[in-house]
Amino acid sequence: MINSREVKVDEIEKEAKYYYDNGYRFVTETCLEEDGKFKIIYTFEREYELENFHVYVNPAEEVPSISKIYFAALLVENEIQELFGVKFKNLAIDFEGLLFLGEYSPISPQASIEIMRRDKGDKNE
Amino acid sequence: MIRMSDKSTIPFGPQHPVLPEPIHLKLVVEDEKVVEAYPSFGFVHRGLEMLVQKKDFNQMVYVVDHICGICSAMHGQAYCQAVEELIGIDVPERAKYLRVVWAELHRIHSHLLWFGLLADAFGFENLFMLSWRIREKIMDILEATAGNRVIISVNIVGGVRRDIDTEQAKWLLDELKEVEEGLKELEKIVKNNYTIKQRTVGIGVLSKDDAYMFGAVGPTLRGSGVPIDMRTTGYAAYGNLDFEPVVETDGDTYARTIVRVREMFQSIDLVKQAINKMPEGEINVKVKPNLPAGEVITRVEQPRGEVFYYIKSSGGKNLDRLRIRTPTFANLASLLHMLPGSTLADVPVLVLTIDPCISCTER
Amino acid sequence: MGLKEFVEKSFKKSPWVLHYNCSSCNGCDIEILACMTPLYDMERFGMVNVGNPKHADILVVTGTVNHKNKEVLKNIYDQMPEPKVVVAVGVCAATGGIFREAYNVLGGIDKVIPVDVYVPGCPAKPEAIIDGLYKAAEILKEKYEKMGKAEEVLK
Repeated sequence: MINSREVKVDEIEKEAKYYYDNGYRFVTETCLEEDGKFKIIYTFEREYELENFHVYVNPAEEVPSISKIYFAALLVENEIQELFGVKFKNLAIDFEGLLFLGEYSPISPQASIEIMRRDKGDKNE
Repeated sequence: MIRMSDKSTIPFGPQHPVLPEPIHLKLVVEDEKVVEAYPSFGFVHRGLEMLVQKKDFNQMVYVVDHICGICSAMHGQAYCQAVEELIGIDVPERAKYLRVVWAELHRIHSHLLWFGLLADAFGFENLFMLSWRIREKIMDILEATAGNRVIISVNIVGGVRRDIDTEQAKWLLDELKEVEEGLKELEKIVKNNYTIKQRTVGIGVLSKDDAYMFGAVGPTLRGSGVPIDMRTTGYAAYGNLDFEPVVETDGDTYARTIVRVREMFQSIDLVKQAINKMPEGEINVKVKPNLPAGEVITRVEQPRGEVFYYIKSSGGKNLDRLRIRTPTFANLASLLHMLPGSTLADVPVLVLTIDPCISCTER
Repeated sequence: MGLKEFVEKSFKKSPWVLHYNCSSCNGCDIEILACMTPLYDMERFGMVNVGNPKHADILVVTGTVNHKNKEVLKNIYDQMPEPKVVVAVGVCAATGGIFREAYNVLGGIDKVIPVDVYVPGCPAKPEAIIDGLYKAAEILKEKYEKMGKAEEVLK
């Protein structure tokens, strides 16, 4: 079982800053789908102890990226954006959904909620 | 003299002689200096995490084994430990020790493989051949004990599927002695060779704070002086074995090489300890066909660093979600930090310094 | 021996190999690399691993094809000069193997390029790979001879 506390979407950056200032290492973010919403679990580590917090995101909502605080979050946030379609704002480098999947790849079926079709209609088959 | 522009963009990969795996880097260079680097992946992306919906939790062991052929036993181990924790079963003691044996054998073969590739990247082909010759001994041991050379799939939920008997254990220890001899030779070369030092000392320096904050794991992190090793948390039988995380402080490619060389000796020692302390008994327990609801995080130290498994189940035969954060995925941020400012000729060495496993990264 | 015969003989006796990892799990790739190392030593058949498609006669592909690398694979294949032979190493390259049901996987590499030799195994053993490559060298010889005849006819 994992311990995780819920925070609001606009508190993400504040929380991440708190962990950064207290010497926590970024481990990863995990995205899953729960009752028509996305749940993103943020995991940090200090001295082998994991700390988690999670947010619930509505499909239409934009999530503030923590990649400006923890550079390491860059890839995982791009991955979530691509495979689940959750939109992140303020990404350090935005791959625009082309990190893992090519222009002609199928849309990832990882999430049943469809929000982000890649906006490259003319290139898509 | 008129100069058009100082900057040019050079693509690196996906098909590149030094890379056994496809990764694409877009390098913006100014004369010989790399100023910006943008990675592009996806040449190995298969969507394995999604297969949990199609395969039940026992079949998934074989799928996670195929995330990466180099550290496959540890992927299986991490997954099995997660499921075992979810169900709440205790694995027999003997199985825990056997898991250590196979995991450490994998670590030796992976590090030797990496060392060969690094030697190849800086043009020392002889050393590549030498380290791969030593590695073949480990492959023989894996084939004799588990039945396959590369993807051995020994882990199952509830234990392991094969046993190592006394006679085989004795033979294994004899073989390891020969491996150790070879490694000593290799260590001598690493410590004294001019070419290796020229190509690795001071290349890709990662300071202690940077390595920590970029979330680096494994030898990349320990080469910068941070003693974090998931094995010290004591999963499987590591709690009963005697070892210390290997740490070097220079933070350059040479330090990371030394960390890996020392880790190979440590792994041999761990295999010896595990075989000597291994208790008699069962090697696996029966598992009920249905999972309870819940979520579990496990972390296992792979040759490249810590792997993170998150599983979530709401009952039934299939898991709801499997999330794998592989060590290379965590180390890529450090690579992106190291590349700008290096020379173009060092890029292959820098890419290899984190021991990239693209197949893991993209799943 | 004239120059033409000399080139012909070296071509048949020393095919150059290009290896491409096409979303494989690395298992087959490290076995192919193991083939080049002292124990298995592919070079005794005159086979050398090269990095440039334009130099290669045999293309060794491991792993399944996904939507992003099918273009790359096709590109590499098109760049190789005729005659060329393709070897699919491992079950993934043959049918898709364990990844067959994954969403981003197309299946075996024969969906994209024609394959001459299939080497089974998960991962394929070095002995099997060497056997496959030896077969490929023979097919290459055949193709070369056919090409020579075609040239004579066209003259």
